[in-house]
Amino acid sequence: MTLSDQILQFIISGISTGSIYALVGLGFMIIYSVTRVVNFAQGEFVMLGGMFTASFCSYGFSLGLSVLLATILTTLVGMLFYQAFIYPIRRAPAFALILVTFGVSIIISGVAMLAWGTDPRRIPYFSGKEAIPIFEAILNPQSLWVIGSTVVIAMGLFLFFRYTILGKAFMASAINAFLASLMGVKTEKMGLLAFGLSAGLAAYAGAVMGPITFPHVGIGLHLSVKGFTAALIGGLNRIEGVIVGGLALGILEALAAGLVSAGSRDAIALAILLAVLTFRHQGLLGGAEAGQV
Amino acid sequence: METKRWSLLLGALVLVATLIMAPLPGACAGAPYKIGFITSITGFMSPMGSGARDAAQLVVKRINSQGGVNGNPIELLMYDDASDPSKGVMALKKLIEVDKVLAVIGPLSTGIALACAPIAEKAQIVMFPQNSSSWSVAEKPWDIPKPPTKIRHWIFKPGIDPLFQDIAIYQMLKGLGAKKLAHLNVNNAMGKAMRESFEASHKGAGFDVVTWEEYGREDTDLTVPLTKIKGSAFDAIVIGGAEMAGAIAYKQAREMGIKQPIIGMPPLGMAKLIEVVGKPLDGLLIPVYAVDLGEALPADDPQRPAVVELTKLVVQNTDSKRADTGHTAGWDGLYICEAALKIAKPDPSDVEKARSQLRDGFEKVKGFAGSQCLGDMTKWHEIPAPMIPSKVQDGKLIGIGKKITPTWADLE
Repeated sequence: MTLSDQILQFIISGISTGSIYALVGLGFMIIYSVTRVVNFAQGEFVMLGGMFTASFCSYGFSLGLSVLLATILTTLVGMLFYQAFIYPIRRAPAFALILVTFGVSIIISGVAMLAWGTDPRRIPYFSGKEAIPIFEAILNPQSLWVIGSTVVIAMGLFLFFRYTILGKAFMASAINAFLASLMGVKTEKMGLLAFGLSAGLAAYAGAVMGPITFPHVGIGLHLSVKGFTAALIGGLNRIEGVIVGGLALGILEALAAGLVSAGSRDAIALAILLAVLTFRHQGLLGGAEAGQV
Repeated sequence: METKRWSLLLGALVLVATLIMAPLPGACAGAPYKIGFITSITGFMSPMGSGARDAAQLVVKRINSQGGVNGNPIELLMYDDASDPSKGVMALKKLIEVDKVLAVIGPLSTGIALACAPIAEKAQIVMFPQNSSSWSVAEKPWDIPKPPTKIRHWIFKPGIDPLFQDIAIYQMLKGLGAKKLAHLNVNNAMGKAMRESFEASHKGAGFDVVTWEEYGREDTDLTVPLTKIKGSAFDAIVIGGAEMAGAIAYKQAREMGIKQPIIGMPPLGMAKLIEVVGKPLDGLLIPVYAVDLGEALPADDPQRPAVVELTKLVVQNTDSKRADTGHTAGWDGLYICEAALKIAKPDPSDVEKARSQLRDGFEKVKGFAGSQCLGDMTKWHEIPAPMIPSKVQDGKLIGIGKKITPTWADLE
């Protein structure tokens, strides 16, 4: 295997891992743009999605139905989370809200541990098991699902925000909640919608990555950190920014692990994050105005 | 009014006190032997630590329902170290100073055991870390692969060490005719300890390592280190790690078309992992501990009764479908402690003296047959833990060779 073949494999691996980061990052972006809350329970939503899917599958439900049920259930959890914990203190400083999301993430993972135990679970591959060769490199078929889902979801979100009344109302309250409310947009409903949408998206992400990653109740924090980093690198308020951030993080991590050393990958990811925060705090693609979804 | 409130409070206190003091059905007559237990119920070691907790509680119930030890019940005081050395140290100190236990079983992992061992040694109380390398019994670093030179007076443990696992691995690799190896380990304390011992011992065993690669505990895409391995000329891959990532490494190596034999260090043999991943692990070679084989152990195996009993206990009382190395830590830890208590017959009312008597009891444990340990306590304060060469077939472990029981005596 020549060095160029190896680098090709690193990039392919980076894209498939980066897509996962991007999917998680999109959830951060949706909630942040409307409510100004950095939701650190985002990774727990991903975990719930994976665990619900695995549980429904083990009860004998078909895969498609399991994913659907997991997504719906997690969406409800997300909405309940907003109504119970965020809505009552929605005027509190952002810092307090972030702490609340941390607290809730601990509650969710604690309850999940009591319910499911700590063992990893299996979700079957969505389609074929055979790895797909690309020149000398290979791509896991499930990674294609992850990458494809990321693209479809990103485009879907883009169209939703651009061309639907609800999406426009959503965007309006993201840009200026007060003015939007004067125009008759129920901005508080938008917060609920953001949490629901974001949780559902995260749950689907958990399900689609599950066959590769084997979900267990402890994956939440790790994914929160990676997804948040991806969103910050790209810009917390643009869909394309989050996608670019996720892919960049995934590819750089893979290259760092492959060409430098396995231990350097997290260090390099954090160094990039620090550099972005220092020199371009709105993210690589982030606009100057907050809330440009 | 004031008097009424006080009398109410007093009444409540009396009630609570009676409830606490009321003898449980089947309880033993003597004062209880207080035994401390530290395990990782939360944190990254929790898949193993929660098993240790369940088994320990069940074993204590079992011992007490059969009349206790020397007529005294065992009172188990358990703390969670959250897979964190500093919390492990706090738990140990509390057990020693506040709870005044006679011995401490645990903590589970090497990292936490290393932080705790000097404290137990200084406080003069037995500590029995169930899954730690020999680093925790040794007073100072020594020249691997020679035996440790100075042994701590108060620390005892199962004969588990990366070097022993290497010896089993080398024996299996020799059977395959492999010479040039690729080594892949998780980059945490356990993986690094495995790599260090492999680095120190492989040349002497007649092997050559062509590439050393690492992965992160949380990694779900192992194609990066595997790509580097694929680019080198090797006869077999050795995986040093216990996590899901190790199992994923095997699966992805096969997906990438790597055909050479792949052998995992014993921690990868955890039945839970193999059960979850299933058939994609077919062909993986691992030297495993008795408990990992479970019902697949031969009928005449001296460890079979313990494994079968433990499995029954675990399956009937918890959600687990089978016993694994986590449960073993509870079972062997407490039964070795029971054996030591039987030998020492300490008087629980004099804590200092009882601790020292119990230590001598641990030293004299002989002919123990547990779910992981088998045999006599060696002068290195370890009861040997035999490994059985095995492989995964149809998503299940099967034994493929005779037990390998390395001890430091082989290396003197």
